[in-house]
Amino acid sequence: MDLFLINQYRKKLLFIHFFYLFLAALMIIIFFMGWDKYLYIGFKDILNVIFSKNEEWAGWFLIVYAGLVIFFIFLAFKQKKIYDSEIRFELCKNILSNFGVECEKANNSFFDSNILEFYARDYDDIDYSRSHIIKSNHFFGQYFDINKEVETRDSDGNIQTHMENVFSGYIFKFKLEKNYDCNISIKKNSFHLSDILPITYDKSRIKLDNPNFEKKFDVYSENQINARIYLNQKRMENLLKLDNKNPLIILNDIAFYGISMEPIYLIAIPFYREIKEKEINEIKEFYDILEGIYEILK
Amino acid sequence: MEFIQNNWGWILLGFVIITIVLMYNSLIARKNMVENMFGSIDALLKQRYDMIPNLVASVREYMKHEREVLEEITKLRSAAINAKSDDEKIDIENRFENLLSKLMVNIENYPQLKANENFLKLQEALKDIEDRISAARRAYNQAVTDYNNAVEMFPANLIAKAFNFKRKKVFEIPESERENVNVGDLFRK
Repeated sequence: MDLFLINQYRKKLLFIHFFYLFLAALMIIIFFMGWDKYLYIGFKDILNVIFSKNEEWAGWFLIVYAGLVIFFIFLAFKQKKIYDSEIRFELCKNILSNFGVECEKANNSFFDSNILEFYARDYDDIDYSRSHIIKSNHFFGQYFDINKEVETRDSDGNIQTHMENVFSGYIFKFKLEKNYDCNISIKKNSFHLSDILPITYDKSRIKLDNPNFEKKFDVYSENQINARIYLNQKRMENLLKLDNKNPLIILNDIAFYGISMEPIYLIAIPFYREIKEKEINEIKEFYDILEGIYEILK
Repeated sequence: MEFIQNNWGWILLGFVIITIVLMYNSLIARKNMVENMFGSIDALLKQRYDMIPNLVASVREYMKHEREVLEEITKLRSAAINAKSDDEKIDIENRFENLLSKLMVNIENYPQLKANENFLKLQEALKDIEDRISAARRAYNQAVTDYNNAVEMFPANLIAKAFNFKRKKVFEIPESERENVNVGDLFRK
């Protein structure tokens, strides 16, 4: 969609949003003015005139009146919801297209469930309402809200289940320049008892000769040699720039990396005013980060 | 609770035995890892040694002033193939690595050589195998360090001594590799 048309649509939605908010606010003001005894004709007096012989009708009138106020507020914020789900995304898509990045809504996963397990272990459900894909020549990513069913016990001892979010963010795959013919998993560093008391030995754990990298990450692979070919000194130094919150997975010639965050279009694009240069730069920064990650991983 | 109070001696003995078994198994796993890594590195070194006659044949014609280096490389290759013990192989490989690096640096003085197609193919194959050897050497050294740490750390050192686990020798990392420069880079200079 054209940027001008998107902005026109945003203005229209914003107008409707404020119109309904104005109606709701007006009704609330009239209601409270009505209770003010110092006014010439109070709201109560109007009610008395209309429903002087039937108090039940007066009660119903009040309920309908309150319902109308709530309905107007609902309609106002519905415009914002439409903006959040459609227009913000279209704006983001439009801006990203200037950098050669395609952006599309998605309602199914483009990633194997085994990959998703790395980022949301034992997950039960994927919510696709905010899901979309971002792709360029160097990367392919999808936004996921992944949930897990959690059981809780209430005060009476009854078991209740509810969905809990376990991962919200993008999962990206980057095509590497070379096939390393092995699987490598690079995770957040954790304590290993076997380092101080040799009672166990994990053959798949790879200790590397970069102390800073070792402090930040744990590396696992069944192929010690190929994993080390990939993790040379230069790449280890570069990988230190990446966050260790989510694992980095290498499967032969593809790298998978997860970034926990809100959808970029929700972060960068405002509703109440026109998009500024700063917000466009935020989207560009996001794209630059992805290109930077590709440069590190390739 | 009463069971623990009545049998604490047996429980303690059981705990000690389990710990000894776990430590022994861990030492064996580390030792096997070292051997496994040495096997990998040995196979890669053999692949590279097999390429040496071709390399020498390709460069001999052009590098007449490097005859001594080429002869030394050929001698070391034979010695490496006939080496019996792991330590002997490591020593030869350390010397061989330095000599090969020296040869590759000297190649810069022979521009005609760089135009030779056979040599270029060989160079590419050698670069690939050098990368693999470098990675295998680091993997081997890490496996040896893990093993040596376990052999020397208390209380595993008691088990190691009782079952005759001995320290193992690491490969020297050549100066050029420490600086993250490999043969491939030297070729391109």
